Amino acid sequence: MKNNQNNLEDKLSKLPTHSMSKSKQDRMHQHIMNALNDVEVQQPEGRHPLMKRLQIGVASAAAIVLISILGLSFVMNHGEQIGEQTQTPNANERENLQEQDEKNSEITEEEQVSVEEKATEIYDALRNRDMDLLSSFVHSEKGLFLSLYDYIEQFSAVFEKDEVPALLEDNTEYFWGYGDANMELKYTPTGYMDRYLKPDTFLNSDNKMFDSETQRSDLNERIQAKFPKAKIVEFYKEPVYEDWKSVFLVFEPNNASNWELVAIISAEWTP
Amino acid sequence: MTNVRETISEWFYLYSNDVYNFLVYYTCTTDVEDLVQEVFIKAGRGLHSYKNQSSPKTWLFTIARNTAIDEARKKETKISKNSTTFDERFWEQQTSANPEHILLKNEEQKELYLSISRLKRKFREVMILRGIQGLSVRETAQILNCKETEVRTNYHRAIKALRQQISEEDLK
Repeated sequence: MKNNQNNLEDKLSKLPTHSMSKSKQDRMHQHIMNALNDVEVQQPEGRHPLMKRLQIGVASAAAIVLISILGLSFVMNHGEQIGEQTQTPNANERENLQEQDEKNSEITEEEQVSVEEKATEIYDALRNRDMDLLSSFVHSEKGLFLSLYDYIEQFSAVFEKDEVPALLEDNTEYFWGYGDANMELKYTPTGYMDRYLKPDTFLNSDNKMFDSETQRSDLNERIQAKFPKAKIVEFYKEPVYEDWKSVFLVFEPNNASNWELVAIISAEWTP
Repeated sequence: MTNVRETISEWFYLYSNDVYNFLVYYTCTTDVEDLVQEVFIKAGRGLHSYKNQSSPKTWLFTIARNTAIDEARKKETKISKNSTTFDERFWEQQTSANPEHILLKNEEQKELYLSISRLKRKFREVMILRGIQGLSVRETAQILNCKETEVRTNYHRAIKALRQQISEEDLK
């Protein structure tokens, strides 16, 4: 038995070794050096660069402020314009807010069914890249928050409801997080969708798995921390070994207590 | 402070052929130059995140593995629309998963290569890193981001599965 194993290991070690020619190596080396022209010197063992660029920092801060203002505007039920809502709520208002919160945190069976039906329609809208249809589900006050699960706290792009129909025409590259070796993940909204919400594979109806009360993992916890009053619907692709992929559709009630889409968050297995 | 280009240049001439050879087996194709190049560019851009707990070679192999998987994901849209798993597609799409494309000397090597390509991914990975690349258990665990015991177990099972496959082929 042991001899068999050794014999097999011996055969494995004798499989041919492949290498590049010296000229090919030199050409590739030149390309790599050219590509690294702008990163001449770096600090080793540096902290994880949360915000490399001021532009990103400003954009993220603006997004956070915007979300806060929108959130405040929503719960105070005034329907006022963004930026006008700056005062602190008084005791009565706080009480109203609490009542509103309690009301919001309860979801009836009908609402549950309604959210799940909407989620299915949104799934189809995403697959068909039907931004008009998608827009019709987006939260009127909060807009649509797009992000990657791993960077939900740090990076995202938020679009107003009326911006969503033209989302695929937006050529702005947004910053979504970091990939392998800290590579910056920058995509336009179309790029984001093409990378994380592929229509004919992940969003293929054959792959469609639906779970509104997933116990599969603790993934929901971070989303709930970000959207405490939300109802989350997850579509996921069943893993076989360790590869899995999910998209979370996050719903919150609007001023009229209708559940609307506030966020699309993509998550996938990272090797 | 580190001069990124100097470091990457040095690592490139030390390890690019190891990365190349690994990617040939990992992706089942010899068309991996673009991936090798991407690995070293990523390494240069992410050098500040490199921690000395692993050797440069294992760090580069980690990036190479992630890059290959990511590349396969990018191609995902071009792959069949049926409900096969990513795991299956990842290897199916390496359309040149053909022993003729890899310089295998004889029928026995071709059979061995095809048998490896049919293993489950977790077995195949450990087989390529440990069996073919000759990396240590510790290095393999660092690349696969798992415990050393898992590497040992999976390697043992992979050898067993491989032997079984080969003997089944021999019976045909």
